[in-house]
Amino acid sequence: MKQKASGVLPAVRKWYKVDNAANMYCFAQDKNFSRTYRNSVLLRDEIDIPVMQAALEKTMKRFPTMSTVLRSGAFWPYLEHTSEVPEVHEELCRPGRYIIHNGENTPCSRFSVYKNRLSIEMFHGLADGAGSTAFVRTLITTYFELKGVKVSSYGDIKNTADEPTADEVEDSNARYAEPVKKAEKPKEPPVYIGENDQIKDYTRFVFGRFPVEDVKAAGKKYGLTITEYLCVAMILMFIKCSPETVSLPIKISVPVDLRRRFPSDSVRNFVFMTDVTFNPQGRTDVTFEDIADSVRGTAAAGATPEKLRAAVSTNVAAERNPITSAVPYPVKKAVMKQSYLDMQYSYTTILSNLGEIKFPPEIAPLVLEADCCLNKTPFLHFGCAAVSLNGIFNLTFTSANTNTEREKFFFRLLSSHGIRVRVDSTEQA
Amino acid sequence: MRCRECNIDVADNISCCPLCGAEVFEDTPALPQLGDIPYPSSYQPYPKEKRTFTSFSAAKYSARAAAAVGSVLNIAGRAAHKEPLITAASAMSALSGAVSLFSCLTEKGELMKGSMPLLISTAAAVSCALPHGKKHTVNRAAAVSVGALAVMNAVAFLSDSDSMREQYKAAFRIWGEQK
Repeated sequence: MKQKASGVLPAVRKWYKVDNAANMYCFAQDKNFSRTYRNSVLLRDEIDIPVMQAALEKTMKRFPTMSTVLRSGAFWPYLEHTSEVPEVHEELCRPGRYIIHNGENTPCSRFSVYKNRLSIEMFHGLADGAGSTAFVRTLITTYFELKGVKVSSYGDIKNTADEPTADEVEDSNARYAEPVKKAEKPKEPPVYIGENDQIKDYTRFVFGRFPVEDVKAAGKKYGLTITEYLCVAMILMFIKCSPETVSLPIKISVPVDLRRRFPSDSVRNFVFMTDVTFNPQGRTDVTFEDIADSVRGTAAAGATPEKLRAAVSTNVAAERNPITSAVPYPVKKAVMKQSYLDMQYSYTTILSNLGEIKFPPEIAPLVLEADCCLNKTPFLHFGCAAVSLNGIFNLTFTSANTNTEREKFFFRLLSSHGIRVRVDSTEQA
Repeated sequence: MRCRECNIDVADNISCCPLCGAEVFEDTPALPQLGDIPYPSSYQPYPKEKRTFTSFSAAKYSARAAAAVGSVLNIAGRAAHKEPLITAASAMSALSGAVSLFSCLTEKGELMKGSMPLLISTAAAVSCALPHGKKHTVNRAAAVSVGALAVMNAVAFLSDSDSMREQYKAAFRIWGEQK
């Protein structure tokens, strides 16, 4: 195992290696597409944009990897540090727009405000959901500090008065990777994708909010964790809402935050995708219980420390391979982009659960809600992300068309299980 | 407000359910503590993205690499009196020149960064274009030209005026202590 990053390199640098887990996002992006996601927080009072801009400037200095632009090197992409801070602007355009890296000083993140809601759209190459959540917590805490709120204890929130550390900007994938023996990867069978009927420049978010205790109790009834419960509901949704019989496996890709398994303070990408799969084999009479029995425990079984470390090691070994390294960037990009495209057809959809967000006690009453949305991609026309704050679970469906059949089925199912649900949407039905 | 069809709470300012489109009714909400999520009622179209060539760095470094390989082939060809090697060197230099010129012309406002590979590839091309044979003076001229190319590359690498060294390190991902 590699030495810990502390003290090896300064935290603030002129450029950063793209971390192992993010290489794919950097290679896959082009002039028409980049993998982005959106975090929003709803404050109690209307947001003061100049104060938020000042808070952002302080926070960007605390998170040096967030104030970078994507560049292409001769062999690998890299992130170049920039002192330019993105502008906090009023939200005027439809959410879900790609962040295009055009070779100039285009920041990899976008900040917009609408009334009391702040939205942050971020290129996935910079950070994963946990990394961006850390950023959001610091930004909101700094904003309220500038508004005059005294914070007694930061807890695990990164204070802008402190200097960034080398641990925070490290590539934890490389730290935990071990030497691996070459192993044949079994060929994955095709999975159910569903129709990809996207509307150009259109993204709709449907927010479903429900108490954490309700969904926990509903999951407990079937012996499922919250994530498993939601996966089962989604699988049933795909089966019941498909216009034709589903005879291929339905695979829900679930990102696992590796920081929970391997100690890391990194605010970059340290995540691995596991999956929950069910094959209806053409049956239309599948019940919730059938799927629950089949998938119970599979998410946890696919995310054991041994399996996760082996998967991370394989990815890092591929990057460190001298032959791979010697391939010039344009060739590497073409190959990696194709493999990214192939990967997009290896799962039905994504369910990203960021877990609970916490703020200091003085600030918690001032932050009403939080949500996380996956932005659509040319391949992923339907995705789902969730986050919880103050005991309320906010699950957001992203869709690239006006059809609401799936969301309707999903939330009616939750409601039928005794979960109290409130639904809001960026578009009317 | 509630949708009786879906059995869910909905926003207060809407008349139909966002999921099923059915009429919503004023009713006691199941989750009274939750408020509306504000979103604009209409949106402006996306602004047009500025599109430029995205791989300046890759182009520049590829040009330098091509010039360097061409120079090595050139010297080897002259030493061994092998015509095909010198032809290959000329082709590499020409490719390097084309990439550099394109990079230089498209990289607005940063002429120096774009022009250095152009100078290097020109030096490589000149050295290839010199007549070859057993005349030592001509081959020496080619060697001098290649030497000049090496010096220019070294200057570019060592010069810190526009972070060239950092650019190099980053482009080739040579991981070391940085400023």
